[in-house]
Amino acid sequence: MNKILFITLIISLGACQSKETKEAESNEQHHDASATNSETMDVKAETKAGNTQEDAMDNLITEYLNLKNALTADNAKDAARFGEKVVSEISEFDVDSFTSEQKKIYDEVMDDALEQAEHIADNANNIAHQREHFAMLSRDVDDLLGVFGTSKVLYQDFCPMYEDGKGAVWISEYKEIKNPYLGTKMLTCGSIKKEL
Amino acid sequence: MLRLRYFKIFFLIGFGVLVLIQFYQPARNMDEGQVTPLHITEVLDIPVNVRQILQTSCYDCHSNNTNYPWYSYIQPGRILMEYHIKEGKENLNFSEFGSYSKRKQENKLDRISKQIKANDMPLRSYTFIHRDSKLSESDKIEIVNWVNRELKQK
Repeated sequence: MNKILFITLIISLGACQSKETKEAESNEQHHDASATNSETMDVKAETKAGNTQEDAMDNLITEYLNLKNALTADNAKDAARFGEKVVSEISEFDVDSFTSEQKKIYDEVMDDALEQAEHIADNANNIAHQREHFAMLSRDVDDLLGVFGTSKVLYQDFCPMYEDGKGAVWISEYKEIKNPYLGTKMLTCGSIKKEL
Repeated sequence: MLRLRYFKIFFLIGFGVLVLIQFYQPARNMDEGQVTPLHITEVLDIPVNVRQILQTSCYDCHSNNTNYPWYSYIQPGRILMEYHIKEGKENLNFSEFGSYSKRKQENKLDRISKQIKANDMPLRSYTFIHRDSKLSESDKIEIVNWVNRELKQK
C-alpha cells in the first residue's frame, strides 16, 4: 500500500516538474521572440523615412509569391510556412501614415487577408483547403496592389477551371503560366489577364 | 490478490479525479438574450426558416449564446464543449458578424455554403449527440440558396 502511494507521488511530482521545465522553456522562447521582434522593429523604423508603404507591400508580395510557388509545387508544408509569414507581413503595415483611400482598402481587405493566410498556415496537411483560402487571399492581395503599388514586375493570372468553372485569379512574378490552383497536375493551365 | 488491490486503488484514484474535476465549471457562453446590433440577424435580412436552422444547428458553437444541454454540467464533457465553442467562435461568430468587413462577410457566407455542401459542418461529433441539429437535404438547400441570394446582392 505504502509502496503504491509512493509511486503515485513520484509520478505526479515528475509530471509537475516536466510541466515547469516546459514553461521555463517556452518563457525563454518568448524572450527570444521578443528580442528578434525589437530588432525587426528597429529596421522598420529606419525604413520608415523612405517609402514604407511600398516596402511593406513588397515584403508582403515576396511572401505571397513564396506561398504561391509552394502551392504550384504541391507542397502543403511549405505553403503553411509561408502562410505564416504572410500573416506577419500583414501586421507590418504602418496604419498611421495611410491616406484615406489606403485606409479604406486596408480596413476592408486586411482582416480578411489575415484570416485567409492563417487558415493556410493551419492546414499543412490539406492542400485543397489551402487553395480555397489562397483564392480568397489572392483577390485581397490584388486589391491591395491596386492601392499600395509595388516596385516589382507582376502579372495577374487567371485560372478558369478552379471551383467548377467559377475561376480564380493569382499574382505571379513569371511571364509563363505556373498554376498554383491545379499544381503539377495542370501546371500550364490559365492565362495572363494583365501586367501590373 | 495483490493485483486486485492495485486495481482497486487505481479505480479509487480515477474516481477521485472524476469527482474533483466536477468542480471546474468555467463561465458559460451565454448572452442572456442580449442581441447586439452586430448580430447577423440585425445585419442581414434572413428568412425565418433559415434563422431557425442557424439557431438549432449553428449558434451553439458559432455565437455568444450556447444552448447548454443538461449533460454539459458533467465533466469532462464540459471542457470538450468549451474548446469547441472557443474554436467555433474564432472562425465564425454570428453574434459579431457585423464587425467583419464587407469582404470578410462575403467570404464567410461563401465558406458557410461550401462547408455545408461538403457536409463538413455541423461537425459529426456534434450532430451525433445533438440529433436535431443534423441538417436535412432541404435545410442544406435553403441555406445555400439564401447565401447565393446574399452574395448576389453584394
